[in-house]
Amino acid sequence: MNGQNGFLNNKKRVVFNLLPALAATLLLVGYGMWSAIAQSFQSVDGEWTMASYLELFNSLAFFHSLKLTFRVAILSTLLALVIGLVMTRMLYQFFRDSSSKVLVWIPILIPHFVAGYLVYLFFSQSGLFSSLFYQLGVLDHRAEFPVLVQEKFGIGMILTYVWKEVPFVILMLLPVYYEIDHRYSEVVRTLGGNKWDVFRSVELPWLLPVMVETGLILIAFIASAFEIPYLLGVTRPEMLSVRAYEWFYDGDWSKRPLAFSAMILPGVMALLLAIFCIGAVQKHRLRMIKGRNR
Amino acid sequence: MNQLLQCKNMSKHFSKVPILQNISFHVRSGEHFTIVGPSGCGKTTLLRCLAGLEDISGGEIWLKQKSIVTLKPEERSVVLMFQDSLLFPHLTVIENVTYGLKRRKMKKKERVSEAEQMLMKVKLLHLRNAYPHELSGGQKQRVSLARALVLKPDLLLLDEPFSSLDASLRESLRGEVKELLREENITALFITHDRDEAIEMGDRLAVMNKGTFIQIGEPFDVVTNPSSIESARIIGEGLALEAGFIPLNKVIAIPAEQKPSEKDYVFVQGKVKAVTVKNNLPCYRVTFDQGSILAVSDRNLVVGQNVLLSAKREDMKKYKNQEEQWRRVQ
Repeated sequence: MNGQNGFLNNKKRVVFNLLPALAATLLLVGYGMWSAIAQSFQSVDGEWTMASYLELFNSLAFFHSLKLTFRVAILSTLLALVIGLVMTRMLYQFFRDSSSKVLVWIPILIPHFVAGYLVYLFFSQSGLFSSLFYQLGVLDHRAEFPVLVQEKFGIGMILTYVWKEVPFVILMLLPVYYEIDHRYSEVVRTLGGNKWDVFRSVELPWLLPVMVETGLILIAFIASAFEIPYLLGVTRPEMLSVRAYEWFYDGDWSKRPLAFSAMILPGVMALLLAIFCIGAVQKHRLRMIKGRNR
Repeated sequence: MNQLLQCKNMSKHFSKVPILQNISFHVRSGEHFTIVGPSGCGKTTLLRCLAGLEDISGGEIWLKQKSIVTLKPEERSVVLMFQDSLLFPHLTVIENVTYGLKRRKMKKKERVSEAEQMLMKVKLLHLRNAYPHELSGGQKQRVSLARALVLKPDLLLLDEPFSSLDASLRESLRGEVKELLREENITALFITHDRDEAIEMGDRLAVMNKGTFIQIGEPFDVVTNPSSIESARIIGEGLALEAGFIPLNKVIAIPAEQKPSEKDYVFVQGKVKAVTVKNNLPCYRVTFDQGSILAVSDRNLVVGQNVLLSAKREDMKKYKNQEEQWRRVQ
């Protein structure tokens, strides 16, 4: 039949087979997205307007929330990437023949809310660490323990996200490390390079595209996540997701368009960032794949 | 010529399995030393030990009268060229060639100028801004050679650098490489399992088997006077028999039924497996118990025909006394 099944050619058959998945995605996610965008440009009476966006841009509280959101998202992502990279670099040989890597995956299995609660349990001023230090005599009073959760900088949130996302970073980077042709490391050494040069010239070029993509996923996820900021954040400033939640569930329905626009803005930013970053790394990735010795 | 590299009783074990066994040899300054041997005999391990990529289990390595055993690979003036070109895929040709110079903290202007000169010598200057995926296999190997030579190492190690190329490209490239190494006065240690390549590339030739050198000498001498049946099988151009070695130009294939007198001739039974042409002469690939050779004949033979590989008894060379040979080559 040469790729034909009577009434459909190969290309059409692929689209036909994907139709259920595409339909579910487009109808559920697509409709939800469209609905959120539409409502962000509407008043509660259904009139089309930019008022909610104008109100956001004139709101100092919104910018404080945006600043906190970016700070937590970017710092958590950077720390998770660096710690994940260092751990992968140290452990990939060990993980190759070992079932102990399951230990590293455990944080992935724990829900974010539970992770947040654990951080609260360990790091709050009445938590286990402050009690331990108090019992050991390091602290005179438990109140001397630094405020690490429910404070303005977002340390507790950052700690939780780092703990949760490091295994995800390892999960993403481990296959890359196994794919790297380590003969290149020997080339670097015989050309006079040291171990740092090996990392920079051999490992980093392969890791970079995956790290950029992983970073984007983490930033987008953290910037829009709700449970951790709700549990570990302070009343003001709060993360954007918490503010949007409040606007949405407030008794005042006129605030609902604000809730939508407050979440669409970081979404659009993440989308633009993704287009820019993926565009930038794609050329590099293709060059690496085509140019490797196989 | 003074001895640039000296290896004394070098040995290497992997999990108590000996890979290199008490290897001793030297390479003179400016010399091209070739090592030939079957796959798995330890050639690559030897090169890796010299480059510092593997620690040796025993013995000494001296480069320019200094022991380099404890030096890291980056501290040795030794560059290893691998079977594959292994160019960094994210760097352009010029960036690949300047890579080692950059590690030496040479100024950008100087290193680019040196790299361009080297690229001119390998006839690839016009591709200076190309990426590795835009180059052919031969071009990649040339860039890899330029990347090694631009560092002007005391010793260049080449690990079967043409094995990934097709036959015609391999032949043309090895001529170019030999010439360039001579021009740059580079001392090179070259390993291969290709007999022709080993003979053509080396000023001296070592035959390696089971982790040790079994013969060292000038290529013509080694090829025509193997010191043992193992050496004859690996490198000898002729018929390697237990009793001795018969050079190929003395061997003739004759139909099995035309057996001459056993008193004056040596015979080996064989079968024609293929007919080919070499130097405009018909040649026959004849297989026999211990291998196969390409023999000529004054008759027209056909594939599948039983033949005798025949040579005058007086043309058979006895293998040299191994110990005596060994003393001579060291």
